[in-house]
Amino acid sequence: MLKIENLSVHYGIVEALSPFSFSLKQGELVTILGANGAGKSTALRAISKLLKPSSGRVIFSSGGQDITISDMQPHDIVALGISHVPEGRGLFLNLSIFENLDLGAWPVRDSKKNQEDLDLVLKIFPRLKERLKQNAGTLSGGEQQMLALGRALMARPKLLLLDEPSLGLSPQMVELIFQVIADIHKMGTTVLFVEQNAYQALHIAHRGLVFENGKLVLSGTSQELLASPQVQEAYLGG
Amino acid sequence: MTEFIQHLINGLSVGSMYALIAIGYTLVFGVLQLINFAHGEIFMLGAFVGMYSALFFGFGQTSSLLGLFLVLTLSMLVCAGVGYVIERFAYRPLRKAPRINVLITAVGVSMFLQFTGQLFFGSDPKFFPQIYSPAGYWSVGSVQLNPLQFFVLGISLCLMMALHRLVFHTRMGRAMRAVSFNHDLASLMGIPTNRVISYTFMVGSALAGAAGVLVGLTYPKIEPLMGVMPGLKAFVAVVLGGVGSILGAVVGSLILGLAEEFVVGYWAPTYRDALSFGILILILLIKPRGLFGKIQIEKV
Repeated sequence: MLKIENLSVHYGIVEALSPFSFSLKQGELVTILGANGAGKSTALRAISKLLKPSSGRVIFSSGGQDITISDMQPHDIVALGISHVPEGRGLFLNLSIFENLDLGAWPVRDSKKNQEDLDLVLKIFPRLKERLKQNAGTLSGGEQQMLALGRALMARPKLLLLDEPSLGLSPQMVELIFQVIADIHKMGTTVLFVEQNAYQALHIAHRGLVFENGKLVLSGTSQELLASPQVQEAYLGG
Repeated sequence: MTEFIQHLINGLSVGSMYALIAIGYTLVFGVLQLINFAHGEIFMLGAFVGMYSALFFGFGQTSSLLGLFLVLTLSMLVCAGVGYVIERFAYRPLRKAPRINVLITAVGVSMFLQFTGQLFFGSDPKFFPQIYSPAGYWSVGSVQLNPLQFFVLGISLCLMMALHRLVFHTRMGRAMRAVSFNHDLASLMGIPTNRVISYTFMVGSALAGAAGVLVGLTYPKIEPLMGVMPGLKAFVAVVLGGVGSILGAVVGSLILGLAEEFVVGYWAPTYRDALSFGILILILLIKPRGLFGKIQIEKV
């Protein structure tokens, strides 16, 4: 469904991400692991074109068509069915919760579908329901993450890119968010998510990719990675 | 008392003209963080388009409400188009450039329009045809009220309400607010940010164009440099109200209009401009965020 070929990113002359390749199959749940500054977020931002890659290309296959999305504008990529929840949730803190959700539905130009999706999102996150008119800035960190996920669902994505969804949340909230990610995946969405929380991430993901200093150093199934001495040492406390 | 009411009405009508211009400033600042110094010239163009179209259609011999609305619409449309062209060809190529470059470009566009105006319209003042001039005066007690002022006030109020509706109750308005919060985030929603920015310029320019016609109607002497002072005053009003806030722009404009009229009426007629810029200095010293400046709450 997604094929990344020799993608690299430079910040000025500094190489932030060395050329890397990997592909995602439809229906997969894959995590990108790595420490701070390893290039995980950069990789997601290069896929959704928030950053301009300095080499390589990204091909998205949907409905039997291969589309080179690395040539496209970010908003056109969203319209194809790739939603990116950026690091720090990326909410419009000046808008209400309802308005945030409604903006998420921008690519779906059908008010009936929008209503169905809204009902679904509010069923998944009942906490948002009582606060639809409240400003998004008034929510707690966990609620903001719920809103960010809910808003991404409003676009009916085929592929969901999540950047550190558990960042800064309480343990119970992390549990809940991971549960929701697994549920979203079960509903048929392909998910690629960045995490530092390797143990929990590998617990729900099928496969993982490990980045270190801007390089893709390791990839494998979750079982392989959990058993790998390299991962154990770096992320699971030996 | 009579005098007070007269100054009050004058202040409101001057203030509402500033408001129509100021809204464009604040909208554009919202989406681009750019003070579009060419905005006053759009106002000037609005007046000239109004004048030429009135002459072309032959309005102005007799008072015609329909004619006024036609001229107003035409002027708004042309100004929206000019706003689009300015954004598309002067500002969009500089989207990733440092902000100061864009600001200097805005000053350049402003001068370009002033001198192109002088070239094509002539630098001598022109008479704006009185397309709509309600007869007589309304007398309330000893106060004589000019119905035209109320009419102009009413139209600008309607335009501001329409704008409020557009910004707060339509999908495009929501997209405008999203873009003004953060371009990247808006594009992650699938919002075509460049299109939203064009649209914002067009809306702001249309309002400035309407202000041009309405000012022509009340002060029928127009010339190519007429946009400079109202443009600066509207800018002061925006700073007073808090840059980026629509409510702030309107309230700031009304305060400025009233303050000017009262100072001129009761104290020193020559201090009109000094007062405005005095207010600008004061607000920058005391409350640089302005009256309705935004404070953002961010939680981690």
